[in-house]
Amino acid sequence: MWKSGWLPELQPLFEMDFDELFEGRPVLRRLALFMYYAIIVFTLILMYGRGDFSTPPFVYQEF
Amino acid sequence: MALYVFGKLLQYSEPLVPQNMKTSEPVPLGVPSSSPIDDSQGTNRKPSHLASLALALAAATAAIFGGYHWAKDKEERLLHSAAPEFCDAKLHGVALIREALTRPDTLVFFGSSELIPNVPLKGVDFFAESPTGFSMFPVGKAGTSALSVLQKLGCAGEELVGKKVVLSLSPSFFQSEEVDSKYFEGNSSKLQLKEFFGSYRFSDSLKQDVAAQILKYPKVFEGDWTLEFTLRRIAKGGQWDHFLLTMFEPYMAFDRAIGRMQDHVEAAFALNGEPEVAAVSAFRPKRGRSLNWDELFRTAEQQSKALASKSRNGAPVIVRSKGSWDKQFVAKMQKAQEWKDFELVLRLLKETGARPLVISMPLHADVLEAQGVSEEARMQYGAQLREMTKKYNAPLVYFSDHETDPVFFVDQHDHIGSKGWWFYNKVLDDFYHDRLGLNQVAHLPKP
Repeated sequence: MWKSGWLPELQPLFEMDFDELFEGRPVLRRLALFMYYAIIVFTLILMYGRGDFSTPPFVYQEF
Repeated sequence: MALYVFGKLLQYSEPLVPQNMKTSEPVPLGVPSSSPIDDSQGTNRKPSHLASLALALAAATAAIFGGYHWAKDKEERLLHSAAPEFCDAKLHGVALIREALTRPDTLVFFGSSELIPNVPLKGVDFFAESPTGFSMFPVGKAGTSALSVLQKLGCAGEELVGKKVVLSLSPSFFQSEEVDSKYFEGNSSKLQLKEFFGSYRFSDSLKQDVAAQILKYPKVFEGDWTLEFTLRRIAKGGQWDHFLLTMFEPYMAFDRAIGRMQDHVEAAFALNGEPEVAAVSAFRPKRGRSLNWDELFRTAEQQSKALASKSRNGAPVIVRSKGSWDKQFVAKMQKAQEWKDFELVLRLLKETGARPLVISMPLHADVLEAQGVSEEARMQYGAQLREMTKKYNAPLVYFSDHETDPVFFVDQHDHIGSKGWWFYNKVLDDFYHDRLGLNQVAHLPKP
């Protein structure tokens, strides 16, 4: 449903024959596979790469 | 979307196990395999997932390594831009405190709320351009009691060895049996505590005493099972606890390493965009020049009087007769938890071989007189302070002579004004340049 309902202009992409696309193009396949894993790894780094050093808030009452 | 496309891609990529291994038919010896891996032309070869994943991990490692060096470069070049800041990366991180402690041209000053009011001659501004050869790097914010200072010092570990550090004490922390727990919770740092407890520089007995203290503040380790586990095991200190800690140490070390990397990233982001202060960015001691301290004193006094004239603080309202509250004041002061925490700080410094200087503000004589506390009772604070610092051979500068000075402070709390900062700056300068004579450690005479 979401394929046709949300992004109809991308319909051809969903129906694309990837086997045909990558047939005889090992470099393209290798690059795509590398990109796939790189996106996963870098997303994880972005998600967990930043620390949280915040502390419980308090009101200092001597000013 | 991208994941969908790549998911499709996965469907068409080769299996990890060669096809000829899946078949039940044996491959005759001497017959070339029909597996794509063995394809000599390379046209039918399909890339393995393992190789692509390894390549992606290698790229990520290179990116992390590059990011680490970018962050370290930022820390080295822009450290002094962070000096007047109160950001989490500086106060609750490790990287910037360690960087400041490694630099011979920087004097690290552990203080509290006195660092906040913007008054002329405030130390961090006064030493910003290294006028006498060094810069001040203050660490602390409102409510930074001794236990908070301890974790900030403890996280530095090896960097403290032989290093001069300044501890500024606020007497108000010593005037009640317990400091408000929110102050420590609001100044605590899980990373700093983990670094302290993970360091081999400190003795087991010190760690045990500190862990027992910190367990009184559950909010500090809330949501972090590794820290809670460490605190409970160290506080208990039995053989079984040691065994468990040893078993978990590889995981804890990995956890700390992740925390340190995150800390570098946070520090770099906090410093990113800060202007580089040319005079203090180079990593070397500066020659500096001699200052006209007498002239500076006159300026500081004028500015303090000008600030006092604008102040809306009237004379304190007398609530008790003179000396009627002495007994209660002394009893509370002697039982104060802050003494025990301060002693832990001195023990930590002694174990690292650091060279501390303890500075204490005077008490507010007018406020305490109005509350029925006489000079005789007030002197007990100085006596106990001298006794403790003497026990750990730490030089002390206590400005007791200024407790009746109306312009030493900027208000009726532990917030020093321009005149107070003049005295602090003079002491810091003498301490950095090894001019602080033994006869001066009790108090500084008025110029």
